[in-house]
Amino acid sequence: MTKHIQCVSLKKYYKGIKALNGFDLELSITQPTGIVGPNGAGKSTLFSILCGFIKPSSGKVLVMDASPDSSENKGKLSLLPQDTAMFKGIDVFSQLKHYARLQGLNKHAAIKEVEHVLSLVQGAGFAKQYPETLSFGQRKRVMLAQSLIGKPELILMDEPTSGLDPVAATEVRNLLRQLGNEYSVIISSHNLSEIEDICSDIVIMNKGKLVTHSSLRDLTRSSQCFSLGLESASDVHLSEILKDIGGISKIENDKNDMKSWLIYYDGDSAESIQIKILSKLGEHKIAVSELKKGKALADEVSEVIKNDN
Amino acid sequence: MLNLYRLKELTLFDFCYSLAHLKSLAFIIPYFFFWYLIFDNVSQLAAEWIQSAQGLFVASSVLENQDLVTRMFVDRPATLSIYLLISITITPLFILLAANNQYSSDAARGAFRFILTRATRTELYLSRFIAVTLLGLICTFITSLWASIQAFLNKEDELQAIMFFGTQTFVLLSFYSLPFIAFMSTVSTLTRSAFGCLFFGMMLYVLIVTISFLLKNDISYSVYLIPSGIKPTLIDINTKNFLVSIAALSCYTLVYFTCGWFVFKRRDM
Repeated sequence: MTKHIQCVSLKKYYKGIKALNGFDLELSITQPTGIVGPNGAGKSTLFSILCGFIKPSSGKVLVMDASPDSSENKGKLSLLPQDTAMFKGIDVFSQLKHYARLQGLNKHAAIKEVEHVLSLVQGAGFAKQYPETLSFGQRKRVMLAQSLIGKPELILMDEPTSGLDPVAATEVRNLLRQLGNEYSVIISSHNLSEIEDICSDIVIMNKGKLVTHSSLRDLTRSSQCFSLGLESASDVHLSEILKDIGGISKIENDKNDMKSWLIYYDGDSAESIQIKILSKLGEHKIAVSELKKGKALADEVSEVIKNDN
Repeated sequence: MLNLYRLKELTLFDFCYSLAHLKSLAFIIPYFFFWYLIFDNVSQLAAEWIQSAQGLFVASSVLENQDLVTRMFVDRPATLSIYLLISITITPLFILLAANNQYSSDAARGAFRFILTRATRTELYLSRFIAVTLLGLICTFITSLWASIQAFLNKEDELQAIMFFGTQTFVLLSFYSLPFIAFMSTVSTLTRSAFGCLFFGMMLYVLIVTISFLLKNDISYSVYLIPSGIKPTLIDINTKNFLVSIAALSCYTLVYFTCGWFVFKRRDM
């Protein structure tokens, strides 16, 4: 299997600030992978190194078994940057056509490819406009389109939906979900529900280091608890209702809204406890919207990072 | 490895882009306006005057070489020699305008990020250099042709001789502009805006000229810090000087170009 990314003891210092501080990672991407971490964790620096925009201070980095700036990697990797300006005074279509040509497509194929990627991001309407005349959301779509040109083997997406209105963000998320089946995608985002929604694997970074790399399912199921979501807020604390069920050790109101709950249990009898919880709630006519094993990703990530600190 | 297809695509894109934008118009407009003023108002009178006894005397005292003055203004078409002299003097200034901002603002704004996932830094660096060189060559060709036509209209020599000297002048001036383009490439890799590049380029050039001038009595080779140091060889065109000039200018270009390339290879984008 292709090793898409290999980082060994990767360090990047900016005037004394340790953006990456001995980062190790080996990734073979079969499913969309999310990279999360607090501000300053080193996510964007990592992306910049992988694309060859900046050089690491020390350590080794390989992208698809070659150095990031090597000629053989060009066109195989693409990036959706968080916020980058395109060339001013050149219409979107011409710029995208130029990128397609750089990926080896002939004039006719390049035009076809640009039309295809613009239609994917619903950007055909502003193809003839200059980038500086576009709104932030439209520019984001254009940047997304450029990242898809020429079917690269690996796409790095830095905050793909940041700055978009909710409707546009949902559309982009739907597109990313669809792209996840066709492309190897790595998404860096602060929006953990987005990561949870799109990605299957997760890499957690903190202070320039790798904290954990696992499947999302393993990570969220590692805690012995259930995440319970109610249709409407409960009038009483659930510990009153569920106190008779054996094996439950603690019940927490997750977001202080009386709708989201974390139910901790002891032992291995998860399935029987789950059934008992549902029947008890049914007896009290409390409608359940969700009951799943493990914590929500946001809780799990914050706990992992808290433990790392 | 250099991918020639990508190099061609990058060069053409930058050339077309710069032609249509302020980036090169800031050079093209003053350049042709200047030569329009020279050719339209000055060259015929200057050519007549410099070929007079008084003109030859003044030129001899300025160039400090009577034989050279005779070769330049009597044996060769005077208009072409005047054009060569003026060009050599003003080329650094016009190249500062033409070649500034090859990389600085695009790198600072992040526009290179879309290129660098598709082409190597070497291809990008080289393509910008070639695009500016192409622009310089076209402009120099037009003005060299203009000067040759002017010399023909003034009946300064046979058509064949004018064409020969015109071509020779064009080749020399093309090579003469290369080190300055490479110099500005290096300056552009060090700066983060078009204005910063222009300002820093001018300051650095003035500094080097001043240093070479101050040191020339103690260290005679200091005049060769800049390509203008070989001016006496450049203006005295004969086969040997022509080849020496081209070789020397190629060396200057290589040195300046390599300095910039080392910086560009390591610069954060």
